[in-house]
Amino acid sequence: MKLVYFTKVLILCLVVLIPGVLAIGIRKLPSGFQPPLSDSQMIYGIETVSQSFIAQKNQLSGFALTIKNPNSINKKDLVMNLMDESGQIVRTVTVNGWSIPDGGYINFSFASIPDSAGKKFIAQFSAPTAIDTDSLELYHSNKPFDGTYKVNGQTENGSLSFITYYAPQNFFANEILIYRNWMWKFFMDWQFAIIYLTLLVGGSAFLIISKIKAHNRFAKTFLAGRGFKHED
Amino acid sequence: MKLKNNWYLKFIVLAVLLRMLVMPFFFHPDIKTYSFQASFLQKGVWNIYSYLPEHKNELPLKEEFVYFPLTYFTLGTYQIIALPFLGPNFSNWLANANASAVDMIGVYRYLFILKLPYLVLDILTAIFLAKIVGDEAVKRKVFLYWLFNPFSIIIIYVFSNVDIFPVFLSVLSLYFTRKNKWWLAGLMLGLGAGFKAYPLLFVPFLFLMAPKLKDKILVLITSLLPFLLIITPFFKTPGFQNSTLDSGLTTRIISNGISIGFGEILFPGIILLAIIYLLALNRKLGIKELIHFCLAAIIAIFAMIHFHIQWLLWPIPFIVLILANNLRWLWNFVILGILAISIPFLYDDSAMTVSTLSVINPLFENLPTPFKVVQRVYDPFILQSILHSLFFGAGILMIWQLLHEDKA
Repeated sequence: MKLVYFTKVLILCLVVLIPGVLAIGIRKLPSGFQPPLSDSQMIYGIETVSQSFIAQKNQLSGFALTIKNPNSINKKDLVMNLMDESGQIVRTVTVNGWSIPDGGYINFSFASIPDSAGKKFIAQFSAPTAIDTDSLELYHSNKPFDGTYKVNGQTENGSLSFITYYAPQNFFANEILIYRNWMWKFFMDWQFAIIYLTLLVGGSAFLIISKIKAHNRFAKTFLAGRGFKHED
Repeated sequence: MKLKNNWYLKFIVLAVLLRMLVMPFFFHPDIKTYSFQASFLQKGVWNIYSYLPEHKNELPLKEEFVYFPLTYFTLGTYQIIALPFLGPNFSNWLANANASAVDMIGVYRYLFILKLPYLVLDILTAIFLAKIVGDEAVKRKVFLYWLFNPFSIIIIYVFSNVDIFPVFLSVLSLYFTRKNKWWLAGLMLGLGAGFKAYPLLFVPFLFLMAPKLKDKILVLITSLLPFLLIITPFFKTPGFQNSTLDSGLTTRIISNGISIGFGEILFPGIILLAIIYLLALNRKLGIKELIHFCLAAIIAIFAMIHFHIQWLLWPIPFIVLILANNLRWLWNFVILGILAISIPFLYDDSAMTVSTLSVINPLFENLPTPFKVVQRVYDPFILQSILHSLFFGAGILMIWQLLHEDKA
């Protein structure tokens, strides 16, 4: 019976508590899903690749994209300068090719920008020490995007396939977000939600009634054993 | 044991409720991949092994079908039956290769319905496991140990692979062995191998245990023939040879070894299995010894190879039967279980840990995996190797104890 009790508690924790506890560890909230990848742009020497975007929220803290590093040959620095609308560099992040696997999804994380919501930013990439034989390649997407994509200062079609990240606004923000979205998604499929909850409630009711009946049976037997006559 | 008996019914209801809490809210990508592949049965595809490579360019999910044929036909048939309940967007969900698939409305319904056959087999496994033992008190223990051990709940409903099919058939095989119905016992192993090859490991034990020559021949025929009949139509298909025969247990057991020169290699897994089979040859096997030998064979495999977390379901029925009779093994099995489960937890694969919560919210995919956390302070591959070495040591000791107890 100890095992039954232990497993009941464990499963309830797994389903109800663990998501909440793990949510505390989420320090980066993505802006959405990464757009599908199409072709890629090589980057080396004096070449620069830049992408402008509007930050959706405050606390902008990362710019992530998929990078090709054929045979993991590149071991040189890839620099991302994040600039504001006036072209002023506000953050710089350097990632070395050692830590970029071929096709790796790399998040250029930086100290969050508190009042970023609604502001335009430009992420500019360069790999000054790389050469054409060991260059990295940044993946594009054909999905329409409201932002300017430039290679060596020239505007090109499409955009980089990227996601921006934001730090949580406060300690409880993730908790609320996780549980609210969970319940919303569950009840959006209302037919399933009704059947599922009915089964759960029905099963629990059966267990409770069984317990009450067993308790009454025990009481009857106990009283009968002591010479009391049970009257219904 | 009668289901009308309120005691059994009460615990079945509680077990179902607990499983229902897990079923819709945990996701492993395998269930979507093999369900997508099994969905081709409704379109009249009989040879999935040739169909997938031929249509690779036009399919959203490029993976090959790595399971044996019964998995395809069973899951495909179930999908045809369940289709009216899955809703019109189910096929879109299956074909959605993007990360957004976990966030689609209806994903809880899909996971719940796709895992329903596992629930049925899981409960049936408990019932037949209990029927294997005679004494009512032990029967109840077996029933509770299977239904309420957290390992099997997590392996079946969080990682949701198809291992419950061969596990259930292996338990049925034990049940028929207990009833001295040798041909049925063999047949269940043969059918189980139609899903995953591992029940074939038990055929030599069953062969040795069968009392008469006629029974021994029946065991061989009824186990090997169905298995061969299941795989023969696909045997010449390169997709079957490359993806199914060359994956999983079938090749991992010969993936590492000690070279003895001139191209010859000694495979530790096979060496250990040979020792176990030869020991069985020199013993008089009863049902208790059969359980011990089957468990020893599984532990020998796990000790020697890189295994998937789903495979850890294979030994649980045997462990349950042993523990119900003798609880002194409990801590040995708990230590072995924790070691075994922590090895795949450390694989560099978010689907083993944080991503299982991605249907609750895709944000969980952003959490670092245990591999990445360990990487900050230590080499996770070395830690995995240490854990596997510990598992190896504990496993070898456990095999010795299991087989030594039989001798005693």
